Amino acid sequence: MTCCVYQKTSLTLVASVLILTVLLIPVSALGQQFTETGFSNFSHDRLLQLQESADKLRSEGQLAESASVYQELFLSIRANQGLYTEQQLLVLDRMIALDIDRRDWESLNQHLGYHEWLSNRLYAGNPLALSEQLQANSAHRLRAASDQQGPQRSWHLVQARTQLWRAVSALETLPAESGRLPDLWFQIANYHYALTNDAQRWLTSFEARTDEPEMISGWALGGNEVEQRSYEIGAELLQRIYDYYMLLPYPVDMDNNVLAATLRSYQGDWELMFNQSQRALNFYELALKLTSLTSCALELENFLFGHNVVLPVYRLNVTQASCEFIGTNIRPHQPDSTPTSEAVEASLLRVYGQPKLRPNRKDGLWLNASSLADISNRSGENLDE
Amino acid sequence: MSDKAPQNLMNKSCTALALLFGCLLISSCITAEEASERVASRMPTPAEVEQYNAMVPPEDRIICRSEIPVGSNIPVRKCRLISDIDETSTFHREQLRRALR
Repeated sequence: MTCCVYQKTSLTLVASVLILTVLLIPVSALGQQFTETGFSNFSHDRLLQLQESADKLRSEGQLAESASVYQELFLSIRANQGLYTEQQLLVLDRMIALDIDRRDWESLNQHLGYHEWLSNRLYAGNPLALSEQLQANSAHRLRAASDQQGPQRSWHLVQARTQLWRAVSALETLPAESGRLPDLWFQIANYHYALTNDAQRWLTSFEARTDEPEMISGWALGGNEVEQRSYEIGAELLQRIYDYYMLLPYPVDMDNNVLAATLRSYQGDWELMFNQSQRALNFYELALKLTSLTSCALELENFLFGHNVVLPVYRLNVTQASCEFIGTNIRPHQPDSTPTSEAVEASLLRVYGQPKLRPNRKDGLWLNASSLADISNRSGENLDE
Repeated sequence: MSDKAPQNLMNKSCTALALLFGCLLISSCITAEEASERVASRMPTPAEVEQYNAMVPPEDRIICRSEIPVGSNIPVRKCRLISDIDETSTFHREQLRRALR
């Protein structure tokens, strides 16, 4: 009896194994097929062809045709790789840039929203990649803002700033990546400056009531309050940057007074941009004092105050803050010449409008400090209050 | 006897002063819990508020501003939900409208 039970059990087992084998053979064959074809509905060559064609049309100025081919490429990639593939981000970037070229704002907003959603979906567990995509989104919005006026401009700038704050929050979860934060803080401060001319009622709506480009009416911060708040945030962020670098452990042979002087001059610039002439001078004097403590005092003074520095300074470039660099460069480096950064620089110029100049210093006197004198005489709003 | 009276008075004054000083010293001390409470109840800086607002949906966003309370000239920094500010604003407007009818 027991023998029969054993035989039945072993027969059942053998049958199960056979059934599973029969079932698994087509699955593995299918899997192999998928691997070989990569779920491809469109060949790799076809995709490359589409991309080349779209790029060529764009360079020839046929923007509408180029947009159509990019759209086809975008859909093909999704059909090949699925709805959540990161490869679509590459095409999406080009589509967004093309939307701005074509001034197709409706399509732009749709693509930017999708870019943001997809980035959050793809990189929820990868803060570094998420922060990079959010920064890319922010750069697109800055470019869009520079080509628009009124509420749309303000909305894009507010959103650009919001994306940077989200990037900051993502990076703050990675202590090893904290070195990326100062640059983002600096950019946020500059975006605040760009928005000071937009002290309009819709700002409260875009900042606090909705993430959509429509204005929702209701109580709003006054123009003075908006400017005061922007000033405070920028001053706080620049102080945060200063504290960050001053707390870093420096090699014994490195003179961090060069960096300290540079950062203090940025703080002076911020005060100057917000018409705080006395505070600006205090920071510039502090920068000069720090300059005198370095081994390249004259060169550094000339580097910081010996020529016209257009404000706001777009980038926080701490790599320039060394006696070796300053010894071989009379002026700060010009911005990168890559197409992307050139576009960003051009956008910044348009966004900030009429630039200001940092005062110069020669023979112990502040020269060409007309900006400071003008500001001292101005009877406008006083942020000291 | 006459010498001791001022001395006693001095001693008493010194004791009272010491007690007063001790009380002041004790009242100025705070426990670790109180210290952490004070840190927790610190008003967020403008940059912290903006970072917080960037991370939450619009209905949870706050605005911090200086307000001058009734009966004082000293501005106080207050943070409120924007939805609360809107509601209060609507309520006050409605009350004013009723009063003017």
